[in-house]
Amino acid sequence: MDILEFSRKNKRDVQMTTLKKRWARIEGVLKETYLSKDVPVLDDSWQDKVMRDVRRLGPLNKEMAFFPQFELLVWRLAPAVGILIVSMAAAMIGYDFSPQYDVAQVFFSGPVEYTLASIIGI
Amino acid sequence: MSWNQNELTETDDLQIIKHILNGEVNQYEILVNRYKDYVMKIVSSHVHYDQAAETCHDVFVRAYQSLPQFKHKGSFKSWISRIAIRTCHDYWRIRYRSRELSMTTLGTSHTDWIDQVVTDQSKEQYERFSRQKEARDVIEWALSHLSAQERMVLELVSLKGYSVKEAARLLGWSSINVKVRAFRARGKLKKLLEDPGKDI
Repeated sequence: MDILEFSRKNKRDVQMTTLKKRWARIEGVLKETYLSKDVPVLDDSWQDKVMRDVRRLGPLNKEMAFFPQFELLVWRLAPAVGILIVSMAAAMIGYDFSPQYDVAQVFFSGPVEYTLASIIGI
Repeated sequence: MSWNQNELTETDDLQIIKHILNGEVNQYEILVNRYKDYVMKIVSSHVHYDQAAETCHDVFVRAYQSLPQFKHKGSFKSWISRIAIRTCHDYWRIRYRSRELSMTTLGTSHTDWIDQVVTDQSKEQYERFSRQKEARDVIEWALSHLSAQERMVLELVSLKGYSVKEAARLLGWSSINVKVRAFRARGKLKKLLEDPGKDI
């Protein structure tokens, strides 16, 4: 490393350190500001209002918890259902499923289908 | 509060919850009275001063409605703190969606304040700077430029000093999600404050 390169690197390092220090200082002051936020005092009327709303909701019963738990169960089963759909799709591709061909085959081979075909006029 | 007292309160809380679930609604007032200051402290650090009481009200109503889902694995205190954080997150999500945020611009007094913070290195000045109106304006301005998720993560991890794991538990997100968002939010904040005139 020649002197010029060394001096450039050194200058860059000094700039980086200054920027880091600058940022640390701003961040520190903002952190202090954030933590010194005033906390409002809650009076009795606030508590009365909460309790009024709670009483309006009425007593809780265990049945109320059914739907949230059901929702939770649905989401828990979601990955398994996803895997099942993917594997079924893969299986169908593997079977070489072609509905038009199969329907046509059933239509023209069986006697019942023949009758149906004649009714339609094929 | 000592360890024994804590344990007593927890047992007491569980008893009260049992009573509430058996239909004694008025028992909930004991929990409201016991935790209102604690919840208020959490809420007021995240939402605007004039909205804190209303958000705190929402937290307690939401907690009451979710009480049947309360698992007795942890304490009621930590359970309600999670509800408080998530309610604050919802508060910001709604505000950001309906664009109810005041996108104020920084004036010369604010940019001067940033310059003074950087140049003056004394400890006494450090405390004085943090108490100034400009400091509150600058932080509010910077946070309003972040998304609701970034804002919550930045407040919890960078400003309040929670660990990634703790923030993830409070928000109900994965640790990786919190880590990535915290990194992005910090980068955005840095860019904003280094060049306040430039929009990111």
